[in-house]
Amino acid sequence: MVDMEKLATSMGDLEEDDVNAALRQVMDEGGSQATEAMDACQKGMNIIGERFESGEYFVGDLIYAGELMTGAVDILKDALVSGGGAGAGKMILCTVKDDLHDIGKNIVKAMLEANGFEVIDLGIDTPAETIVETMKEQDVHIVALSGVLTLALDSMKSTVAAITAAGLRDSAKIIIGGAPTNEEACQMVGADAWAQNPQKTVNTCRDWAAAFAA
Amino acid sequence: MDAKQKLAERTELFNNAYAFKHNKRIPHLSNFFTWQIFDAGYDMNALYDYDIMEKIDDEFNERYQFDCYIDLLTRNPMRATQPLGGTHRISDNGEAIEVMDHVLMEQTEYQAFIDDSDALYWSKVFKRYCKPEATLDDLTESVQEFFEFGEFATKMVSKCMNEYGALNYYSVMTITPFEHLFNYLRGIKGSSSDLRRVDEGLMLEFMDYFNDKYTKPNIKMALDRGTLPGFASTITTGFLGHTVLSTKQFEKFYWPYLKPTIDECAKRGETVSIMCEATMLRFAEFFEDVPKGVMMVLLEQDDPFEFRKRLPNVAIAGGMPAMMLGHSTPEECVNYVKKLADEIGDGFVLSQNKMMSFKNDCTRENLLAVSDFVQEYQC
Amino acid sequence: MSEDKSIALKGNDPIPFDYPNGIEAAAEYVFNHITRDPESGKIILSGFEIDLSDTSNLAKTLGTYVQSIYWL
Repeated sequence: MVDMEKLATSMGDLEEDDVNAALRQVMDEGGSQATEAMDACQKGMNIIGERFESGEYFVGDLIYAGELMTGAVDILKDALVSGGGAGAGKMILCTVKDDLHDIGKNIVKAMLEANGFEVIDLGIDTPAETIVETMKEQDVHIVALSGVLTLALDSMKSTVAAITAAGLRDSAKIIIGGAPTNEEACQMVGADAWAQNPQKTVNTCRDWAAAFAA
Repeated sequence: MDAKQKLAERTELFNNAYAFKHNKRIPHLSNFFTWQIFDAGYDMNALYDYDIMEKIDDEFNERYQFDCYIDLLTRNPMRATQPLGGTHRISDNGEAIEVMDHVLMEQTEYQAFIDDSDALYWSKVFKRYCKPEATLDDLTESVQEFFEFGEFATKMVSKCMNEYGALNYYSVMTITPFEHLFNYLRGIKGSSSDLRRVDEGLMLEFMDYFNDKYTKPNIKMALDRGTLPGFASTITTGFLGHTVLSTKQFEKFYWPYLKPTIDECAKRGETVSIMCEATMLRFAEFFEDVPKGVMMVLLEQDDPFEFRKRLPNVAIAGGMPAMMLGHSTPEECVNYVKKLADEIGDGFVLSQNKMMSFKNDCTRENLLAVSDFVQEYQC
Repeated sequence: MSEDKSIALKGNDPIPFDYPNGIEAAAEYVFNHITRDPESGKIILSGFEIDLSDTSNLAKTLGTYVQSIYWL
């Protein structure tokens, strides 16, 4: 049986070989520990988030962590039981229209998923209409918009306007993230929060999800 | 004032800024790239027509009278890269240049690069760069266009000095080995994971090899000839890859290849300008001992007031937020420029805090207000 | 220019990415098909004359181009 504390530590230490060896052992032993192993990886991601906040890790490490996490899901997926247990909630994440950058978005996605969110990733260059439709179809109230280019701010503004026009704004919370975002941009766009730090995005969305659940 | 006189005045402004000597007015550096295309009433497709590009540059200079230019629409040689596929393409609405992510060197090829980089560049890197169906005629067209683009760029650099009477911000651009990995060979994701997955000794061997073969000769050439007339600095280096590095990683993989350039510039009385993406104050301790007069940093996300306090030995270019130029009033923009000049003081060149590329990055009204103000305001 | 190579290569052939023969062959093709200066008949690129008889230098010139273009 795999030691889950050790797995979480290995993940937090970004020790890829140790993480993968442990996960393969889980599968070799029949996969009964798969859900526990996923929880351990998520705990490791939280360690990574903390070390990022302290400055020990930086963006390159988060990118690498995202790859480890994706790899972990890949190894365990056949044995993972879907559903069961209360997650943090559903949310939309995307890079907005006319922007093709996705690295920051993918880092945030890995961290959000590690914190129990079901992330509907709409990809890059996402039109406002797609976001609105998905909000309606999937009953989603938390939206995270990512962008690196300055023109992403225009797309973010259009997206917020589209959400408002669809009558969904009052029941939604919107966070924007990426290089051009700051307090002024947040106000201009009409979002509720902004973040350049992925951990801040996670914390904000967690607070919102808790408020919605209450 | 004729072009020669303007150039002399502007050269003095920039030399003073580097040296922290007092300037009577604020030097103004253009960090405008493709925004000027929209300002002139065109879209990005103008990048295919050198006559139109020259006309746009002429109008831009006539209208705003910058003292120095980073770009004269010479950054994106679309006609040279397109025959081979290229990594850039103009969006369907003509308003943006989309950059396709390419990994041109695999994680397993570091040793092969060290063994024979010429062979790897041709047989693997360039092959991956090209579209799969690229032919010899495509290559011929690309080479032809590349050299014609070079002629256009040379013409514009000369025009900048001799007709606009303005400086070119950099003459020699050179970047560290990690920047090559980050920007070109491995990409952001690849270079990030390589720091953990590739043997550290091999990474450093690659960097030493790259530095010796490619970076150092360029730097030597620049330093031996010094700052040429019409240029604002001796060497310019791009500072982008640091955005993914922790302090430990920076100290190991980046700084050893940047520090010698700065030290040599200091020793010879030359200058190095750093074009910084995102923030760099995390690494302030590395730059604390750089003597005044050597380095200027074009800031992006760092707060210029904080930067001045933290690194009072480093000249600053930047400060004007794109957010304000695009969305504030002319009066708000001018008041902010005044605040920058008054509080930062000497060792300061006003520029924009982003590569100004898109239509809504700036309004003409705001830029005219700022441009007029810097000409008149007595520091 | 080597007659063998000039007969073998056509414009719609794929770029030969083998090394070193591929780059040498490609360089010969490219620089023999670049537009010449109409007055002198020479190949002048950015002010430099390209000497077609110096085949190793042609490959070197093409190699330098390749190591620049991937930046762009």
